[in-house]
Amino acid sequence: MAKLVTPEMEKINKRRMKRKNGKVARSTPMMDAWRRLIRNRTAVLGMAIIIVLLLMAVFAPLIAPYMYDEMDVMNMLKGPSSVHWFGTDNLGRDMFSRCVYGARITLPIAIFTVAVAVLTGGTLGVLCAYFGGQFDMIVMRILDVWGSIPGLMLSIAIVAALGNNMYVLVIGLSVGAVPNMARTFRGAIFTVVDSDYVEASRSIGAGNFSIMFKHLLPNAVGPVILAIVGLLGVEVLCVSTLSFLGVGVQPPTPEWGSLLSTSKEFLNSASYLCTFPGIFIVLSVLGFNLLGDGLRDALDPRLK
Amino acid sequence: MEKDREKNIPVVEVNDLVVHYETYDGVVEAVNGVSFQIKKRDVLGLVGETGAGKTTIALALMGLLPVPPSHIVQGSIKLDGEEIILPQNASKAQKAELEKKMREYRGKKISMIFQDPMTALNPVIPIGDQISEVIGLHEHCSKEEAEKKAVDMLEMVGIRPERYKDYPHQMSGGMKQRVVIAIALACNPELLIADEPTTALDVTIQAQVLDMMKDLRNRLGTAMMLITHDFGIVADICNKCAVVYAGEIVEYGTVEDIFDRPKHPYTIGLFESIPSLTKDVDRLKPVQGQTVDPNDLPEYCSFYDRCSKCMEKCKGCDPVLTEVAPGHFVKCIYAQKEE
Amino acid sequence: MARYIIKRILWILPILIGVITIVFFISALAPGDPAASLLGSTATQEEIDAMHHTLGLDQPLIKRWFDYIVAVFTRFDFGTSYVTRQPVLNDILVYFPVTVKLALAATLMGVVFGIPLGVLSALKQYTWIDSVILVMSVLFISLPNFWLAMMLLKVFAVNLSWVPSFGLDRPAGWILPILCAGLQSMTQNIRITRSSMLEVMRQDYIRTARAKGQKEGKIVTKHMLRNAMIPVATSIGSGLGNQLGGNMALESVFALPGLGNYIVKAITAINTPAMLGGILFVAIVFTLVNLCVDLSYVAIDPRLKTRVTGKKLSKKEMKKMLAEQGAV
Repeated sequence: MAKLVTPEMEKINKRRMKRKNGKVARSTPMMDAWRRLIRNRTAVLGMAIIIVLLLMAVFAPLIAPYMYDEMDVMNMLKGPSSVHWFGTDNLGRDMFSRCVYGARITLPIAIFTVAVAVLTGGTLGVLCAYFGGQFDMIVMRILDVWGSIPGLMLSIAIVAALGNNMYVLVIGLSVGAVPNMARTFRGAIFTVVDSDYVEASRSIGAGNFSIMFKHLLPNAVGPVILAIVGLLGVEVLCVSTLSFLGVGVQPPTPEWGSLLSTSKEFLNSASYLCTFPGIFIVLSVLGFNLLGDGLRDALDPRLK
Repeated sequence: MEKDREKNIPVVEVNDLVVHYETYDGVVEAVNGVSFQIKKRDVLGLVGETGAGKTTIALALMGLLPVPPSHIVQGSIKLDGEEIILPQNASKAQKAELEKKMREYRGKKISMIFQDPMTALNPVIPIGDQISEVIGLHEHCSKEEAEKKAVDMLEMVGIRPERYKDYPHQMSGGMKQRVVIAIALACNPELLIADEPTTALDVTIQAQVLDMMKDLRNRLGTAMMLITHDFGIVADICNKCAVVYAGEIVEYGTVEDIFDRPKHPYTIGLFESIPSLTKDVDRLKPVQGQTVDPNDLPEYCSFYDRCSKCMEKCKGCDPVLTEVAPGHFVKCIYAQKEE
Repeated sequence: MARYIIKRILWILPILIGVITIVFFISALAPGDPAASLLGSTATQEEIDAMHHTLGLDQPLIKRWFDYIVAVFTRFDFGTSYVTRQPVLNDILVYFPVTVKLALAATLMGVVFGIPLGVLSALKQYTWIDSVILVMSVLFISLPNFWLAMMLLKVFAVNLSWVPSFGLDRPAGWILPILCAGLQSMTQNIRITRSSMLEVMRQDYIRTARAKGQKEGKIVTKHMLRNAMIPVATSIGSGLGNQLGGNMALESVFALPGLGNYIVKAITAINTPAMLGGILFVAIVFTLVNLCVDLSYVAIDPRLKTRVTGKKLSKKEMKKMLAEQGAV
């Protein structure tokens, strides 16, 4: 039978031609995942949001028309206008500038928190998976205890006890996140360690080192990345919740949650003060969540 | 008269079936113009390497190809003379009607033993209930009767009836496979598709299962399509055999034709790679090379690159499946010329 | 089975001791002197010392810690609140019912709407229905619940005056808090149900069910749902546990007299006994809810039942099994 060419084939082949001059690339799983991530609209949108917010944080002095603590007693509680895009607060400070500067507070705290939580929790998880046995048992029991206090509550207690500054905030928040991180790392590695392909490569005499780098890390990387991206979104929420409750970043520092906390009293009279900081929180959490969803699809080799 | 009709209309007739899997990265040409028919009492063995498209053919017969990514590009499949492939431009109502019809056929008229018994059973439903489910669906009997019949089926495949309430995880792979077989046989299907039914079983149980299938054919005249790698099983139970390579039937004939007078270089190669009891050979001869990439089939004979008998002419055209002896078809220029 | 449950309940004891230890030493780090703040700035040093003595603060830390544990386990005495001068447990029992009602209502809403929507979304994958549900759920999960609460208050209480903006004396006062907490629980369930269903849908046994000629609707209810429910049960459980621990931000916005509010107030006022007692109580509730969730797996998945009722079940094995199923 002569080779049959369908319209669908032509379409797909044309796309392939355009991309790689017709050659099917012999790619690594990671490159594959990257390609799938790039063509995943959800993930790209998420990344775009995050990049914009990060740029906003970096170039805040250039973007913001006023200083975040610049008061203007003549223009207190003015609604959004062409001069003050998001209006002004009860001290006449420009809300847009405060929101822009807020990105410099909330995002770094969230990112550092995740970094600390991943380093400590991740190390614990990996050690548990590596040593197993008694060590694993004891650490897991401790994590059970640790994890039975709701994370946010633990963070609040620590921050309240150790005082209000960014370092304490980072430590307090990450302490709340460590148990979950440790479990994620441990679980991810355990699933791989127990898999048949590791058994197989051990049986052909592959060394610990080569198993670690060829099999364990690449295969455990998926769930771990997902957990990290997910945690970034959660921590942005936690930072702002803490500040909203008055335990985190204190006014006048323009953290988004603390902006909301101050604006709460003006809900009746000047609700725009409550609207805008919230939108920034939503955008950043949304960015991380979209990226996470896109990553999940991209990392799943079955959904090619 | 009735007898004649039964004899003439095959249980299943496949014509020029083409199935593609369309993914973002390319098109897998899984089945390329396959035609065959199975009559009552016939047992067709489908032999070929992994990835040759055997399971795809089976799923197409069941109407269970996942859409997307699979796409039946052309061809026709007739069950008892009734077409089950819709034209490309079929309306939604036609599709729904066909699906309804197929639901009645599946499990009753045509049923399938799946390849992997470890995953083919629902882990949260007792095995007995999984058997009685198919009986309840097609026999229009009460729940008790269905359960009674399921117990009978369990006994038939050699599982004690006390295990009716057991869950799949409480059974060994071989037992699960027997449950899967019991499900497939529960309603006495007219066509039984068995996708490597014995691969997961040890040899004694393998023999039992094959005996069971033979008995079914002798008693009820069930037509069967047996997918396997194992020529031994083909010799044991089949009367027709089709050798599949890269989604095409390269040789088709009676079991005697294929075993005693293989014509296609691929078939010959397969036989040479089997150890023989009668001949003393130092080294088995594997078929050289790799299976052709189904993402990128050549215009010419797809076996060309691995063929020991290939000629210049082979690169010029794709040969056609041609009858070289009555009922014996080969898709190879060399073999046809030799004749 | 009973052995397993008893073992799990006994396990609560060491957890509580651990929780007490963690929270006790964190609170010991807190700056400020509760005695001084209780008495006000006019108090003399003698008065403060006397107060230290009545509060037991003149004892060494380790002894206080030990005494507290003994008091909790022998007399169910969680301490006395510095502020209300009432046993902490009494305070908690006043605040807890509000939190329980809110948590149960929100969880119910999450289950009733979340699971069906998640199933629908998975079944309609690649259609606009799936896209809409997916976009809505990712949007809702990204909302800080206190901000959502503020926006809803603004629209429905301030602008439209459909509901009171605070207070629970009228049933309408419950609507917004439940809506906020419920939406959150719902989105969580939608997402978990959807991904779990998608996983189950491509299993071989679903193909087997189709090959039997089973109807699609029946395949969903009979073959897919139960298998898909294990991760969903985890999600519902941890959601309920978290809500019972007090939805701090939400309770603060709506000024609800709930457990979360109580604990936050205790923490910010350095009311150590109230904070210790509150967190301890939350840990107990949390652990009990987790136990119920684990037991529900056994009801859902016969594979676990064999392990649990079978003689040798180590927690590790159970954990491993759950991990294999993506439940932990």
